[in-house]
Amino acid sequence: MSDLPQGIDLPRHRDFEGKAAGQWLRHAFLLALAVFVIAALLNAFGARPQTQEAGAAAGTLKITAPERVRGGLLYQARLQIHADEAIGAPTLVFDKGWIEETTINTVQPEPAETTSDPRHLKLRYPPLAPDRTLDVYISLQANPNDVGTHDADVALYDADEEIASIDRTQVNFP
Amino acid sequence: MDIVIRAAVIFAFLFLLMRMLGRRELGSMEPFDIILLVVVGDLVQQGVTQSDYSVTGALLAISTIALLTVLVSWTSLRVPRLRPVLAGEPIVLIEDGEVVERNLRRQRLTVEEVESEARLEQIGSLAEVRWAILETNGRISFVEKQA
Repeated sequence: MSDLPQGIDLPRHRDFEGKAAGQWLRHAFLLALAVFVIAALLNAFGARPQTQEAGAAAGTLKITAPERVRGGLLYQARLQIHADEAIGAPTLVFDKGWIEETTINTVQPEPAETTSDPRHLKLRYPPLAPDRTLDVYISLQANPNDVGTHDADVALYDADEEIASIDRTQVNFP
Repeated sequence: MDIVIRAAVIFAFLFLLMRMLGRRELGSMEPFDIILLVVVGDLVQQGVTQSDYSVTGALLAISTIALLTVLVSWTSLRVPRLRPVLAGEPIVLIEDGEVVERNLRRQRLTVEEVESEARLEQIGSLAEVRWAILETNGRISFVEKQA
């Protein structure tokens, strides 16, 4: 009579017969975890800011903001308007991807006028003399329920005339 | 609805993590492991409920996790073929006083750790052990040689 404890099967529980796939699966899982963490370090899931710039004769628009954010994350967008010529009504026009399901905590400096249409938010600032620069800081927070890809274009207008436009896409991770 | 999905995703990830990390981490809780456990619990809470401070949200998250726990146990009970996947299987570490080195390596266990566990069971030497088995709960059971 064997003295093997009940429930123990030596080929299975000592020699791992038929369990090679399980071992490989474990290694694959650990590798996937490592890839996940390394991808995060390489900004795959945000929220390192990127800088983009567009310009025309009248002036340039530069934006520094993350294109990948995670739910609940507080982040900042910095927009820099540089006037090469006088801009009478410098207006920043944001796609609704910027504001839909996103909390705007502060906008500094505050715009002279804020308006919106079904697809955009518009912030109008006082006139900008040639060779002057205006920095606008927007503090935002991503709504945790808002997951997916959004158009987050931003444009600089002089009243109703477009000066420069930057195409952006923002990805919200859960 | 999203809180139920978040709770289910976190449950599935933690379940997979615990199954894949191996039992060593479960069976040998050092003070640092206990601190890590508390930290992981806090991080998980943030991921599941996020900015939802409501009682309804907490009840939903707890209910989801409780139901999934019952589902896993029920599946393990009703589908024996899935039991090794869901609950794991015992692993022989010592046979007739001889350490099965390969199995120790698989579980990232050292002989010293097994000796320590043996001492806790009032066993002075591994040579006295007929069988040492790493159980599915992470503890090591010892069967001594007959006198």
